[in-house]
Amino acid sequence: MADTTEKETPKLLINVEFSDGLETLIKDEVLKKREGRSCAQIKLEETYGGSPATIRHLAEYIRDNCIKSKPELFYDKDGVRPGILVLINNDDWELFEEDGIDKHDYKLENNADVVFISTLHGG
Amino acid sequence: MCDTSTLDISAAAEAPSRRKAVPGKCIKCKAAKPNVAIRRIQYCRQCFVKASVTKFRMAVGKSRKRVAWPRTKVLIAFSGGPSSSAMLRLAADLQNMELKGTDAMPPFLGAVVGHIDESCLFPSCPESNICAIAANSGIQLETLALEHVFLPTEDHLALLELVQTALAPGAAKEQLCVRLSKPAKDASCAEQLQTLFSNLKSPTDKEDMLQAIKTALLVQLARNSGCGAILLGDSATRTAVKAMALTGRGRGFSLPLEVGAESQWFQDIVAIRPMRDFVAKEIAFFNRWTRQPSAFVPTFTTAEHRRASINRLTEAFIVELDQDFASTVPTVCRTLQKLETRPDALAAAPCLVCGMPAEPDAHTWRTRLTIDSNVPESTPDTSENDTFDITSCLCYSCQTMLRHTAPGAQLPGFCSSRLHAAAAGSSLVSENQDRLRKQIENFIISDSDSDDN
Repeated sequence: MADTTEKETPKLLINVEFSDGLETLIKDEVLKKREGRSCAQIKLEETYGGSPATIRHLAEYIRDNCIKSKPELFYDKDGVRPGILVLINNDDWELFEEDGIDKHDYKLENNADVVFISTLHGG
Repeated sequence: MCDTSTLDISAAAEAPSRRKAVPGKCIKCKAAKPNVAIRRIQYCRQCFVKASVTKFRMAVGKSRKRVAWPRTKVLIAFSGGPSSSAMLRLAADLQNMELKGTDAMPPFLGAVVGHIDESCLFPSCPESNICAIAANSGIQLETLALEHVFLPTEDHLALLELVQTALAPGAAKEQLCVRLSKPAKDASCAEQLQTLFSNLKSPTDKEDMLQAIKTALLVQLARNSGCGAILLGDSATRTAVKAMALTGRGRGFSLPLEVGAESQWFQDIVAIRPMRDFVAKEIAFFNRWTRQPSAFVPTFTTAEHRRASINRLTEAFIVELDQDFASTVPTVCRTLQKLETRPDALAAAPCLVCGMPAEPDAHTWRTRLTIDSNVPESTPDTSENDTFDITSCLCYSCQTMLRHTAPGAQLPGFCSSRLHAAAAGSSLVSENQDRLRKQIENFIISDSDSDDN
């Protein structure tokens, strides 16, 4: 992650929710229970290497900072593990996949709601 | 909704056909912004929920046309997971149709929610949440715990205890020997269940045994509740995974019964799988948008790698393939619809463990194996008069499971009940029959000594 001595850059606040077993992978100190849901607030840089923050940056941040162990159960090879659904502002992220644009490259805005749902049997 | 005032007459004259998509709009209403894409077809939230309700009704209706079951009560099998929670919601709505004043009759005389409590094996299983979700449906809940299979009943006073197995390919004489034994005196049913599972070798074997026990208990629950039908919540994704996994485990003989939209294998009870047309993604969105709660039900391979069990590996294979080829799951499911149960499968005796048809001479398949794990197997000593060979009463998959199970393991009570029934029906090989009957007689408690137990 960014060196703390660097000049502070603007942050994006992303509201994340983990569901259907994914919450068991996440560190307890990251999770907050809200109306029975397992939520977390994640701060991302506004830009990474000059490019705006995307879902990929969020998923990589979660993989590197929020997973208890076995990060590959969340992020496999070069993306969110197959079998995990992603909702961005309550819409299916596959809607944002068009004209050769990968759904991982969806640009996040401040206060975006992102939900990760496992559809795998037993989480 | 979109503003139609700006549409010109020519566009109105060429009104899009029902199936033609309007770019950037829901495929159904052609007006709202889409919220979900299912196999690249985009729906808005309202149309998606409506389509799901219709799809469920159609699935039940179609099953009813194919298998004309009498008007009966139905047991809704409910594990608490997303698929069975969605099914519970959809089935409850379907049953309440009459109450809402429509002319249609509900498809079932009544409904009962059937739940198997797995907390004995999975202490983290949120039982209270699961019961609360079931209670929300307004339908009566009936629960049986997994350990119930070790509760002594008149049918099974004795348990089958594994003695020795010799089922390695090329074994001189293939045998899987058991004897009848009483459960350990001080052991509770829960301890007996835990001991059984600790004696099973691999997570795949444990998943198989768990499935066998759950199926037996659901059928028992249905009979106890006077239900002539069971709704099972296998989704399309689950069905595709199951089909591949069952094939890999050598369950091809009973496969059509285990994945079919409906099955009459349990004779007095029809098993229906109305969620078979829903992929896992549809279920997740349906639950989210209808605020239908579900519980996270752990399994033996929760938080484990893909190679943890055959089921897990197959799931990873199907789900990864489906990510790149969105029609993978529907294609597997459509292919499965073409499967027909062989007449000899319908006439076969039920396997002592899984209760599915056991192919006669299933063990002969093993002789064709050229690679096998190097597991030392003891040669059964059948000189002892109290052991008998049950190989012919087991399906191939359960033979494989028990082959790897530690000797001394006691099988659930329904196994000895089924053996009892097989002995009575003379489906056992003759050399075993008399010995078995005598053994069983020793365990039958007469009225005079029943007070002692």
